[in-house]
Amino acid sequence: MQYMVSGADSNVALISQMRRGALEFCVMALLEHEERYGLELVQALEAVGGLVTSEGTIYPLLSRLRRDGLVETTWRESEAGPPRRYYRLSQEGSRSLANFREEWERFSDAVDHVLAGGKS
Amino acid sequence: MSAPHADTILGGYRRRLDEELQQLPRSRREEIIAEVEAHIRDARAANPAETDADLLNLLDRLGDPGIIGVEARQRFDVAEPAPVGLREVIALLLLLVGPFVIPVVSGILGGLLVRSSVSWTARQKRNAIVWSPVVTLGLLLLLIVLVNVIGVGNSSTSVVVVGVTGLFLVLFVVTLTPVVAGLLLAWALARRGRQRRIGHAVREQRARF
Repeated sequence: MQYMVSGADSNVALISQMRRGALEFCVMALLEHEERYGLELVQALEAVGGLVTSEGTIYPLLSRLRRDGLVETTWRESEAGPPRRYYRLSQEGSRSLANFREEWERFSDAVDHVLAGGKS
Repeated sequence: MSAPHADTILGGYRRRLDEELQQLPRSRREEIIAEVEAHIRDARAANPAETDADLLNLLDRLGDPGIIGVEARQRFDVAEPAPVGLREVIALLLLLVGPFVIPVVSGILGGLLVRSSVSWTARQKRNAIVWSPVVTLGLLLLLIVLVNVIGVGNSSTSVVVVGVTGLFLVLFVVTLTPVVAGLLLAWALARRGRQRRIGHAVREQRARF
């Protein structure tokens, strides 16, 4: 794909930043009511589609969320093979997610409204 | 039954992932690698009739280690590897060619330039310092064994010959150590060049969405 103006490039970069930012909260939302291990979480994301292109990139994200205290982890025995690390949303993560939900609703409503031509 | 060449395929992937995550703090690197390995283990367990192609598809879905590396560096605010500039080129010339022109001095100057460069990680610099004398001494040992097998040093009773041999040995080590260090550092940059290209490809790929 070719772009005529350099503005298009920064536009595209912005969208990719939005996707990365939103993915973070989608992962958190998937860990809100259920604890999951890595592959389980990846499969849940895949079921939605369009969010992850390279599954492996989830693991740096999970590591970062863990470092920031937004998710907690526990090791659990698995039926076969070594123990697995299970992820679950922390209290701080819950607050952060609630905050994002509110902002996202307001933001997406506003954007939808404007994109639809300002007709209500 | 696991894929016939599972060990080779997974070993290569694992080595590259480790290489790509070099700049992260060690605990983070180990955590990410352990989780990727667990992912592979869990996914493979679900497929009892695994073929090499299945395994390659699994790794394709996981993504190239370079892509995971770029993502990890962005998530942890680690700078992308610095570009190679004049300083690095001069440093490598001083280490690779310099010792044959001006021994000792050239190696020291090259070493100082490498030390002040940000294009190599601390670990890569450490590796060069540790491994260059080891490799050089290994080569020297090999040379001594070869010479003895061929039976050159017959007149070894002569003090002159011992003196000359001693001088040669010192020269050999002094000249070759910086060259080996230079080769290791050049190799590190070559691999990093690939990393940078993948980083660029990832940004382009993202840009297509």
